[in-house]
Amino acid sequence: MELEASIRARVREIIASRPGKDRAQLLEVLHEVQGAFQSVPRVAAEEIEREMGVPVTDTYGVVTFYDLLTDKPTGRTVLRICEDVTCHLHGSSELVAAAERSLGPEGEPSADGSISWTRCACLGLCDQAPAAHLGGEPLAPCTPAFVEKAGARHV
Amino acid sequence: MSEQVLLRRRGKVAPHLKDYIESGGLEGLRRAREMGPEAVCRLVTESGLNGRGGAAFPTGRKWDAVRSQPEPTHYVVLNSDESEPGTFKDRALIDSDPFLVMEGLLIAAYATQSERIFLYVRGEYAPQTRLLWDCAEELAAGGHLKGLGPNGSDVAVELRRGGGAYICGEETALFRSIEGYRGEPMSKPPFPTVQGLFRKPTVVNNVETVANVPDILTRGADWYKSRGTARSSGTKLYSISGHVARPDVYELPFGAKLSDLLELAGAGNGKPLEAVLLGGAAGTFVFPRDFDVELSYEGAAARGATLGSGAVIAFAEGTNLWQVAERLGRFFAHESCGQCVPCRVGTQRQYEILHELAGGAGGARERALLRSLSQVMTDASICGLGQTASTAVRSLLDAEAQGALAG
Amino acid sequence: MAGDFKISVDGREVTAHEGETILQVLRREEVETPTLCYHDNLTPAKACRACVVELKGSRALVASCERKAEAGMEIQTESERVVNARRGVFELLLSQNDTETAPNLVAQAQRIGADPEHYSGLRYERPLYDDNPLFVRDYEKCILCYRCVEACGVDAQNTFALTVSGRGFEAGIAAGWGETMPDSACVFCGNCVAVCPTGAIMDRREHQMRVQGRYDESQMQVTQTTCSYCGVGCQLELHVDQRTNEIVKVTSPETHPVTFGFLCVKGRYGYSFTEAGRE
Ligand SMILES: Cc1cc2nc3c(=O)[nH]c(=O)nc-3n(C[C@H](O)[C@H](O)[C@H](O)COP(=O)(O)O)c2cc1C
Ligand code: SF4
Ligand code: SF4
Ligand code: SF4
Ligand code: FES
Repeated sequence: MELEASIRARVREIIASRPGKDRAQLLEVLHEVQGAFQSVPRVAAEEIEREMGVPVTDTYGVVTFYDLLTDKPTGRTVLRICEDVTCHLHGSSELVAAAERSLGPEGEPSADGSISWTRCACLGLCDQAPAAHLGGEPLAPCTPAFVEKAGARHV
Repeated sequence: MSEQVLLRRRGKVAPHLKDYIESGGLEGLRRAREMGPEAVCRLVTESGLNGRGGAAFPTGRKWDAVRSQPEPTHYVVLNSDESEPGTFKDRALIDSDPFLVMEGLLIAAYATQSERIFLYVRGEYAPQTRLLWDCAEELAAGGHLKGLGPNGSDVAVELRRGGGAYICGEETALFRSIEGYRGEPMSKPPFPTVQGLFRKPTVVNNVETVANVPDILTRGADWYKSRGTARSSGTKLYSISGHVARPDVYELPFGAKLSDLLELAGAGNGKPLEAVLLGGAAGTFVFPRDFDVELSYEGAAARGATLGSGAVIAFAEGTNLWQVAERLGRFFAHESCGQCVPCRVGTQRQYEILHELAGGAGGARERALLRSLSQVMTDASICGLGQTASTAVRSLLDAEAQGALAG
Repeated sequence: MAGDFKISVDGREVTAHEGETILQVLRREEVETPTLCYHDNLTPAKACRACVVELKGSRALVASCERKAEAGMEIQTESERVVNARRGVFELLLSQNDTETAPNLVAQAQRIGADPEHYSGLRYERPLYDDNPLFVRDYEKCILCYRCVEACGVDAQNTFALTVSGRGFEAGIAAGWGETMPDSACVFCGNCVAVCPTGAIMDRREHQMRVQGRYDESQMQVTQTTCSYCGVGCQLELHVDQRTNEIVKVTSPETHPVTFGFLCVKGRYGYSFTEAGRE
């Protein structure tokens, strides 16, 4: 398959760009893979096994451990809404409601694949609550209007 | 406000090495090189600097333990995982003075004779990751990493972005994470100073901890100890949020009162407070009767509280604290690594019971259940997460039993 | 003996050998200590916390299965904290798992007075994986003891077909990329089955007999033999149902100096020729 071959090639590139092929490079490699494909697909893990000697199943264990890595596809941009104590005091439930309304079910990419959203633990932006992240960058304070705009643009 | 030490460059200096040096930067590192590793460890020990990551371990002693290990390969790890709910002071510190953090780290590497520094920055801190990395590159380009390592070798700097897991702030989980594994904590002993990252002697330090070091080198232990209390030297950063007019990071010398901090931040916005959560999710609820608590390690301990990471979340009168506790319960259930039974199943059960109480259901039986569960988790869990996942809940139960809870 | 030293257990002075764990000392001294994840031939996972003891000078309780004994240690195995913690561990597991095929867990729970009703709440809900001819996985029974992962990995098999996936209450054992056994790297040695303490992974034949209500431990006869497939000389235990003279499963003794209880696919599952020509 062409897509599969291109994923494999990209993963090899990512690994080659690291200072070594030891297992200690794994987390950084996975961040790059996630960034490139919005998830870590199995073929990427196969390539990691071949190049770095990390068993496919170990990579699966690692990917499912960390919130920022997924084995299921996310949108090209991910909106993460903090639901922890301070943000909750400042109305994060309204953000979540807006997301459910305009972006659909949590974790599911929009029809064009451009965006998905998820709730998350404290982002360390409590001074700007309610906080969110868009594409890995802080978006705080976030408003329901912003979430809806994101939805209107992407779905 | 009192003198700003750690935050003195906040909003003033663009993060360029030239400006940093012009404003007195790298003087601490220069002093360290003159003194030699052993003397640096001694000086830091004399200063009374304690770790700011939560456990308050004496920094100089930790460094010296690594320095004097017979195994020659040593590492330094910057713990910038900052994921404790309500905590954002490391973020603010990196934003305001990333070179100060890097300089402290270079001194740590020199003092412990380490060959490599790992910057472990939480994956959600992309801007801070860029700042630290740019600083590291500028420092390397300027030749400031030269000769710091063992036998005059150069020290190397490596970056790891966290994957989004609070548990990886726990030092042994952090090692597993860097090594490319699931972030599951290991037992201590062996302690990191003996067998840490890649099984080599390792110093793990919090961002705020190392940022204190350059000034200790340039101004001395006595100067440092002149701020703070007898057993808590220096100044401390507090992240304050919730029902306050000016949520922000504040720097105060140890020994200030919680009420001073609350006033600075405009707590309650004119309304009285119900309580604050002091020390983050693993901290305790503190009620108005204890707002005069002295903010020092010993002062907090005397009231059965802890400073933890220095997080303060304020709740205005009328806030349902069981609903707050439910949030905390969910946080721990979500963040438990899942390795050990007391924490994996215990945090889930705790969350379920708190969910009932938050909804107004549940009575004496549920409260008794929370207490016995708390004892199991605190005693039998492998690591600090499970051991402290019920601390806040217990403080709430105690307050309720003593009638300190409104409503 | 050189390298021997004294530790104190419940106020009693006992001898420990260099390199021993606290659990090894307790067992020799016949101090009853519950264990679940611990297995003699695997790296201690220190995950279940059933074996915790109170160690003077240590804030939290310590896992006796992992912690090495050191001269002068003072250990309590019956203090209130220990009793409470152990009971808590079993009560938490009973509130989560299906324990139907874990008689050892249930017996230990009863012995220490664990109340199965103490906690209620979400139980493990996992599908039954019946995806290969040799064994079945029912993770509602899994206590996440890490034994199967270790046996499949560096401790014995070096195949790396299994991992722990997810986090917290969602954590569980997964094969390969969260897929079927045949899709994973599995070579069907059955060593995970051999070490599983709860029956969460079970030989398919036993599983089917149980489902049909035909499995009866008292009808099982164990015959010792040596594996005939190669020259290594693995000792086999054939578990034969006396009623049908049918082999239900094959194991190897954990104490056997060659196998330590681990076999390969041929030794463990290559017995269907014995049934050739039978209906
Ligand atoms: C669950 C858990 C999370 C932790 N998170 C952090 C963290 O985000 N940052 C940090 O500096 N220390 C954290 N710690 C404390 C570290 O394990 C360690 O004590 C600290 O980094 C040592 O540095 P210090 O001596 O400079 O404080 C955490 C501990 C636990 C148990
Ligand atoms: S206490 Fe919780 S976080 Fe720590 S090892 Fe046990 S399960 Fe993991
Ligand atoms: S049968 Fe053998 S190879 Fe397959 S999962 Fe079990 S231990 Fe691993
Ligand atoms: S399947 Fe069995 S051996 Fe594997 S972790 Fe679960 S209970 Fe332990
Ligand atoms: S037997 Fe020791 S922790 Fe499980």
